[in-house]
Amino acid sequence: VTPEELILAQAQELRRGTVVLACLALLEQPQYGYALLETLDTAGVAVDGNTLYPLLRRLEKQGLLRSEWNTEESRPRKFYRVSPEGAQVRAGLMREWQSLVAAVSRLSKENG
Amino acid sequence: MSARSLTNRYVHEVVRRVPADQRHDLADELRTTIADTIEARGADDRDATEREVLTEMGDPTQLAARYADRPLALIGPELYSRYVRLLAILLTTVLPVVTVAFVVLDVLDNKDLGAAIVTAVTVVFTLGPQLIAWPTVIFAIVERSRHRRGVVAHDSTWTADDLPDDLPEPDRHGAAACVWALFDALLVGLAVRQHIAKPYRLELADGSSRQMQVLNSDLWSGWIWPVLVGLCGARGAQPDPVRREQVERHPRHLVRRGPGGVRAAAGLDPLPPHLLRAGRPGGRERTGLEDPGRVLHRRGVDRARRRREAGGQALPRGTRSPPADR
Repeated sequence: VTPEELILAQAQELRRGTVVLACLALLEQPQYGYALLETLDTAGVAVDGNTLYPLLRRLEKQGLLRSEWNTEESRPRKFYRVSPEGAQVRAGLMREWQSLVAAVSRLSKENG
Repeated sequence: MSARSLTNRYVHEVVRRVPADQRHDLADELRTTIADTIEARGADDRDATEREVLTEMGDPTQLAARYADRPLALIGPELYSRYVRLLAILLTTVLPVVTVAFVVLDVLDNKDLGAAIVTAVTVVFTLGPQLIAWPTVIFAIVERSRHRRGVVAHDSTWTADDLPDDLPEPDRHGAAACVWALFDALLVGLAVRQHIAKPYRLELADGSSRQMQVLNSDLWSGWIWPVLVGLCGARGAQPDPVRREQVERHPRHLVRRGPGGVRAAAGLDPLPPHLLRAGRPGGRERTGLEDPGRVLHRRGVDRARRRREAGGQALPRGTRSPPADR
């Protein structure tokens, strides 16, 4: 196992939870699956479709997202947006994220 | 889009594996998502792009499992250790006991050795798979229902009181245990043989002779077989007296050599208090067998004391653990 492979595997672990946070942050505006994937990709949050699409439905089932079919355009699409509960969870996760970043940067500074 | 298009077949493969009430909605969403993706690739060759996109989406069974939020393991890591422990117990206790019981019944029916072996093999190969299959089915059902209820956290918290009361027994005493077991088997075997072979010849006054058992044949009532089996079982279940004596009389010796003791001596693990107790006044002779009731009683006392220690209460002199450097 090369160091590069190890970094890749560990980085995947690190990113796993951040996709939820990124989705909750982005879906303040209603968005459909593929467009969300593209937005996340350009923002630097790499995620596969077969991970993101089931995740959206799971978050909806948990009540953090709401969905609506938009049939105005040529192709009907399912749009997701954050529910009030989702906004609450996002605020909590954001606090957690900030304190993690602060803690890690403090630790790395202390140890050289 | 034809009904037999790649996308439709893919979507069908996914949605038929999710709960029925989600199928329609999920199929619509998947189809538009796939179409969006194909379109965004700017396809010259639409079929090739469709193939490429579906390949990237991956195995429909796995995608369906993600949508259905189903575990992809029969028994997850939370239950796995308990599952393995149960299987080990069943296969090392229940299976041998039942097999021996059936063989004994065969012997009681005066069947020959061949028939008894056939019975033993049959029991092992019919009961064994059952003992594996049923716990597996039950654990898989429990795993599914836990997942459905969303139980992801530990539902039972482990405390230090759950530790086994004894240190693992050092391997070098395994030989002694084997010798004891062989000795017991020999005694039981001799008792059975003198009954069957009648090795003793009695000369009668009229010059004729008669084969006799060594032991009083009245002892050989119909209950003798259950009694023998019970004796074997009791012997097997009893802690080895030699080993237990050494644990109590020479704690330091074990601390150095025993597998748990190495870690304890290195300060990694706490030592169980009963290992650290000083030798009893006067010491006890090696009496061979020890009353199992006393062993159980002492274990109960040990456990009660450890609980008191955990409660932070002061202990009577002499029972407090010595410093860690012992």
